[in-house]
Amino acid sequence: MAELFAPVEGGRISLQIVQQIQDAIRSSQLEPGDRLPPERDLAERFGVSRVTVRDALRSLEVLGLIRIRVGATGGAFVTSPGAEIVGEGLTNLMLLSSLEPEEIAETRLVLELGSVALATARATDEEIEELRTITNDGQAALDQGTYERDMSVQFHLRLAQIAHNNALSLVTDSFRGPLSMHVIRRRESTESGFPQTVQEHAAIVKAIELRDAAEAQRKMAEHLTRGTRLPDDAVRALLHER
Amino acid sequence: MSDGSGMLFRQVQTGRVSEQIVDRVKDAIRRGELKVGERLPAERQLTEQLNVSRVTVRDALRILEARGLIEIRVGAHGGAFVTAPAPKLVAEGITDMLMLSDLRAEDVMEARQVFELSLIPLACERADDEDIADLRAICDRAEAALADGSFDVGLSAEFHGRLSRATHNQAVELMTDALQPPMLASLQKAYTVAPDLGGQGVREHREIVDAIAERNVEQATAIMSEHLERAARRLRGTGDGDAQVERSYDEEKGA
Repeated sequence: MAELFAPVEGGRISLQIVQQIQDAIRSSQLEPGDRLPPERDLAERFGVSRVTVRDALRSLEVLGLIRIRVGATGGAFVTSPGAEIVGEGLTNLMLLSSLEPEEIAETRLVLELGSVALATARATDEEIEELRTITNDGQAALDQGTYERDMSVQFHLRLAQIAHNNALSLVTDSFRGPLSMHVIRRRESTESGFPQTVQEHAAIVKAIELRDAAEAQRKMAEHLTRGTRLPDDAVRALLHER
Repeated sequence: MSDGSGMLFRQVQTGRVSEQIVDRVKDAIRRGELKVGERLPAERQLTEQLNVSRVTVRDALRILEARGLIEIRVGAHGGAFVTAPAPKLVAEGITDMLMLSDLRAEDVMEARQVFELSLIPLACERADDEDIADLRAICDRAEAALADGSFDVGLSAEFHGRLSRATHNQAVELMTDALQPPMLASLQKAYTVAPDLGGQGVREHREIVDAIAERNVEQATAIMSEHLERAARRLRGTGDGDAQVERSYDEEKGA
């Protein structure tokens, strides 16, 4: 690691340190699980104060690239940003309206349609049974008035896992996080949509059971576009030929 | 923040204090009280207004900066200024997530396949004349590059990136950008092993543009599907994408 980091000078120094460490991670010179050298060493190598190093490490922590553990076996360890951090980034893009909620919702739709098609092809009988249980439990909770949004989230999470592609489910998670659908739904309050949500989930499961990917996509598209402000052309396009 | 009054930031006491300050700032942005280009109160002022330590304020500023919500400028007219985060920042975050998580290369490849296929209907619905012209121009350049031997996978990446912009959805574009880097290295390798494969790829690119220009979703999807599947097959195989690789792929699928 001796030649990995070079002294920095001028400008926002801690950002340059962040950049160098980012580059080392992105070029696999540092890998997940690796521990960065101690603060003191880093300060020497970069030729900066320990405060500056600490600032840089904090930024990397916020970006989800390192995790700082305290204690005897502690230190700064390289890690992977999770879906939450990406979701947070998307939320921030919406905050200053460089990105519209509809754009995120549309992207999520694209991802979910791909993922439900894979799930239809790959779900084992046990997994289908499990999805059925989730929707049955949902119906029961609905009858007792105890249904919560989280139950719907669980359904989508499980469905994404059943696609048997962790990369796709990770990405889908990050687009699902920042945007609970009610943000772009008009008319209904969250609660008044629950019965329909459960019904629609059940229809998706039914299509998967019949191994009908096109129907599963159609049901998913109907579910995710119901009552939303998604542009009509998107809904039309995504339902087209499916 | 336009009036610069202390009302914006009431005192914070408990919990992850710096995160709470971050949330306060975000709320102020959401309510339009802080706008892009405006300066946050000075560190000392924030410390007093929020009744927290200077360390906490600095930490909050660090978080906001790392998330691209403020820019810290040094010097006489320095300070913390609200900025709009760049979509690139999030695209990089997704790339990092895909590259650093414990994922199988095939899954990342398949995720790209699934995503690029699923966005075709949107591209067919929304592509305008400029999109089509730009895509055709990239095909022209790729053909010229093939002819003079200067073709490289960057041109292929450019095509796929430009195609995603035909959806006129910045989040789709961001996602496509994020999925490119994990593929590029392997594609580069594949082309090095079998440089002649570029030709077929470029021909398919052109057919995809033609289908999109005709708003033929089915046709565009079919060609894109074959196009991406061939690339995936090549990456899975070790050889040169010919019969041998085809066979090993079929075996893998139990065919």
